[in-house]
Amino acid sequence: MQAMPRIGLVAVAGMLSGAAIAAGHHLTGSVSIFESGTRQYMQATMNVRYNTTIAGSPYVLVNGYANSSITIAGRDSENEYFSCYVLPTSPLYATAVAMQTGASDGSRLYVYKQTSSGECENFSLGQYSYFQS
Amino acid sequence: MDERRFRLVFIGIVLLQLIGTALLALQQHRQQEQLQQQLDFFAATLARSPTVTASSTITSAAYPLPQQLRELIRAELKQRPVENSSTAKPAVTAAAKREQELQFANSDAVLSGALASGRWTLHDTEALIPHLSQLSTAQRVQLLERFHAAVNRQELELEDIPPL
Repeated sequence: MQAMPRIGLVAVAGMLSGAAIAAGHHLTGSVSIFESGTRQYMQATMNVRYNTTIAGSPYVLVNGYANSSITIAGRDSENEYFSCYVLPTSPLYATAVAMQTGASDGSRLYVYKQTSSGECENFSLGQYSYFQS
Repeated sequence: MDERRFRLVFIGIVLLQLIGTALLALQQHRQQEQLQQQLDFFAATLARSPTVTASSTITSAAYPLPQQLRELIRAELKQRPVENSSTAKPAVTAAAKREQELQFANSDAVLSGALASGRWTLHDTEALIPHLSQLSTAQRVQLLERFHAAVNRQELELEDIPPL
């Protein structure tokens, strides 16, 4: 009879250690907007919505209407905005459409443009295993 | 007697040669006239046509022309402006252009209203949609540049994205 509490204790400890292993290492989501030289940049992770400790209300979006421009935009913790567009005639358009449909939790977005223009100069979307989701 | 026959035969041969030479010259003159007529005809045809397309070709099978005439036509075609049919644009009617300008003005007014309030909302998107159908690419780009420039100057908060 005395063995029962011990078995229960071991079982609970085992469950807790399993949960810790499942959580693993992760980075919390964020949005970072900055300017350097003649360019404006934005780096953001789509899981920023799950970061409950981050300041402000940062977010990131990739939006596109059919056969129209794709917009990449975001807001960081300081309430600063970044936005740029990709025209259907741009050689980057197909990649932008793929990005629009492919962005998900675990995605990291990096985009930049010339300060003097609203058109996206280049961008990337990576899928990462260690972002929190 | 033999000498007189010989002279007659000689004179006859000379006359025949003269006649032959004259006939040959006449034939060459007629050919030149025909050549000139054909050239005039093609020159008049080219003058009537407003433009010559890049795909225009004259083949010897379709027009069995003398080499000289073909060269003259080629030289004439080279001197004329060539319009590539792939770059030809359909004419925009005056009414369509007026409608396009009106839609652009209305779209710009929606954008101005949002800039005045400092916020782009779902209501702005809904107000913009009816004015977009006739906009040209250049007009869309103009609106896009104005919108994104305002956002990046931190003059416009985003609650929605315009359907440009």
